[in-house]
Amino acid sequence: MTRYVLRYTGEGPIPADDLDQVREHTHVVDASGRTLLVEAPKARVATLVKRLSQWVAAPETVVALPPSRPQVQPVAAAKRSRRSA
Amino acid sequence: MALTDHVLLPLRGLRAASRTASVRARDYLGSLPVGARWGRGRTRMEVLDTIGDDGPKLVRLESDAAEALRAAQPGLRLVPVRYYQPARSQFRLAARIGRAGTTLVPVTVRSRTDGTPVAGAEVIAVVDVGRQIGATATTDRNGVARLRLPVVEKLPRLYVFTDVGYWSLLRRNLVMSAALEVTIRPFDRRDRDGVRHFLGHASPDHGAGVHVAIVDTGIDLAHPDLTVVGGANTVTGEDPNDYGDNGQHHGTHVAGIVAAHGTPPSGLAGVAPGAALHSYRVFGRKGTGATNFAIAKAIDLAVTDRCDLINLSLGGGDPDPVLRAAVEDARASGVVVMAAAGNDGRQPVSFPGSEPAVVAVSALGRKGTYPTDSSAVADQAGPYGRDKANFIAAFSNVGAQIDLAGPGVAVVSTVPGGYGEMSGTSMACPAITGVAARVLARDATLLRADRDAARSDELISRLLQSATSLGFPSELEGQGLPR
Repeated sequence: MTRYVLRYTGEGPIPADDLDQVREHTHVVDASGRTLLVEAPKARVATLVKRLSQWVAAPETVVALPPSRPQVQPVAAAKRSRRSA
Repeated sequence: MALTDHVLLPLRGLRAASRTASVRARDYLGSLPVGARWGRGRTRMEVLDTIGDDGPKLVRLESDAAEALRAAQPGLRLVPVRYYQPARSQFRLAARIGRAGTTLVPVTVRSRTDGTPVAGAEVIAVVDVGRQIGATATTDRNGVARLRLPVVEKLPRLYVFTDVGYWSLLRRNLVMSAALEVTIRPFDRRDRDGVRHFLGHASPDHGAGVHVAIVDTGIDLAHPDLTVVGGANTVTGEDPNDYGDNGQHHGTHVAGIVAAHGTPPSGLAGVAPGAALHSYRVFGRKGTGATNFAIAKAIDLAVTDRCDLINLSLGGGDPDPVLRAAVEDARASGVVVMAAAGNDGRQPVSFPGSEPAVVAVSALGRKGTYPTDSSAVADQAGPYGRDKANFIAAFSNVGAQIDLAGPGVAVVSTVPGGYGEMSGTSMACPAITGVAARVLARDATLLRADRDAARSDELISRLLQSATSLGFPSELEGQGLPR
């Protein structure tokens, strides 16, 4: 099941009704203030966010640390790029 | 028998759209529910995950099942799963050079002051600079790293990096021999690196009363130059109270740039030693990347914990509405978010530094603030500033979203066990976060003002007004260097 991050963008705390709907249609993995990490099919999340107008959603993504030293390209990748050129 | 994970997807593109995939491929891909299993023994296959109904499927299967699938569904392809690691501060050299025509070259690394061998140093030999091909090894307790290299007369580049205690080294066109020996220079606390050059030595009360959130790999809680007053680990599934350094050192280095409070020459002072540090660890213990959820959670907690500034020495990927909302909420709550521009080499500013609500920082360098044989020499690039010793680092991202420039080349700061050198917009960002702490601490009225958007706007306005252009185009330095 794909994970999504949902965030309430309205005023004040998350309305209880909204929270109930999120819990009803997704599996809440983690929560923090206005942000919820949920598991649900994409279509269900899209429908939910459409219904709950003051929410935004994004797939869970991962960022890496910015490199602080030079980077090099692996040999295998270099060979692949030569072949495709 | 070995089960391996693959991604099953159309020959072209990611999704089985009608324009790029056959009906057969489209129908097959759409018929694979998550959890479905087929076959036994060598023909086993299981669907583990999917990206939408018509998107790629993560499948676990035996080699025979893979062959059968390729034969039955020529319109689909199986790509082995790859695992990406944080792009951290190790010079990751690639290339396991083939054994044919190669020789094992021992490289001994010694301290330049007393000749003692240096253990644990990473030695990287680059044999093809253009394609960045080479070999890497770590020195043993005798200071020896053994590198398998092709037989060449000269080695185009040899780098040495240590985690603690020494400047990095770059030797170019090194004449090869059966064994090589290089020396590296230990830090001297009296060395004046880029941070100290551009921002001066701090007084202990700089930044006093200001709370700074470091959203990163955690901070070493035992370092004598650092005091962490609070924080949290926001990595899902990990101990929320485990916000110390996760072993990657990055967050400890960043924290020291902002608010180390040591006294030279035995210790080191950051830009705002009086500021209080909060550690929000978003990178996992196993070196896993930071999720948007963990970062948003950290930002929210920092706001709740009444931090004044949030340092994000991270970024990349597509703009994300959740993180965007988190930084916008922080700014509306009187908390200013600073972000690194990214280290992709003059590419557009990375998200979230590209967001209007965030202060984006590029990396500034200065010749003479590191040894002439430091790896930082490779970061020098034009156009140079009014003072021709100043440059915006070759690795720094640039663009109209850059607000300010900060020292980010060969910066010496705290790491577990001592002090280390790192370069990156990751280092430039906390330098400017430290300046923002100084600016805020100077005005008790603003420091105590209601936490709203007006407070954030006022602090950013003062920070930008304090900046001086160093003579670079604005897309490289923004408003310049604040003080």
